[in-house]
Amino acid sequence: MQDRDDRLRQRAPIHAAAAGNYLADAQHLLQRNRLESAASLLYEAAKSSINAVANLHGENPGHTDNKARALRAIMVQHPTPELLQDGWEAARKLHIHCDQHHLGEEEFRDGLQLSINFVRRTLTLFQGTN
Amino acid sequence: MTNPVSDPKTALEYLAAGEEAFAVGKRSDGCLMFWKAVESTFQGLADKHDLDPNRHSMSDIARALDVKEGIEYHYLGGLSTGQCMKHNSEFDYMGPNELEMVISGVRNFVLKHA
Repeated sequence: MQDRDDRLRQRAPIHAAAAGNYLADAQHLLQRNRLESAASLLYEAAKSSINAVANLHGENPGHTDNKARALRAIMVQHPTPELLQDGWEAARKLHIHCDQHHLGEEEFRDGLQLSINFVRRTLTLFQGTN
Repeated sequence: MTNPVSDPKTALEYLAAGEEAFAVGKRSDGCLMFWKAVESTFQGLADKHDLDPNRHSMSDIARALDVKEGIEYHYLGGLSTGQCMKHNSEFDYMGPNELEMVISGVRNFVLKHA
């Protein structure tokens, strides 16, 4: 059990670095107006940032729906937990949009903004916990 | 006399209709009712704050309220997650953990602001 927790904790900074890299790449793409590519990367960044914080606590969320459970545990540590939930759901809807193209321009823009905010906040939480 | 749950008109009635739908396993109907509860909540907020919904989108209204009350992304996040319920009623992409979390978040938002 201790070995498993140690292994997960060792993986946490790898996930955090990946989240940071995805976020930076997404922002670069946004500057070039490649919005859908940026949206895809923001979803990857959001998943990696949850994995990073969850790994620190010995959790390995894995499947997407388990990330919601991991996020609920993370939200307990946050002063404005609903911001994290709204941000994660925004990233989820961007991911679905890349397949279904169902979002209007305004909702898509809002989703990008909320997702970026989510990744930044989760990474800040990681840095504060690590 | 009409049953507000079968013929909802207010945000709280839409919420109650959604709860009833979820209770009997009608996920899609429940999600749609919860979205309508959020939509109705924003119409009420627009009236309360003298923001004309014919001139401003719900996103504009949410952003204006966030600025006015100095709360970062509270209203915009609430709107966005409400919209996710509308999309989930169509695409059914949320797993059980996620849906339970979103139901709770949307319920709290509507009860706080309706």
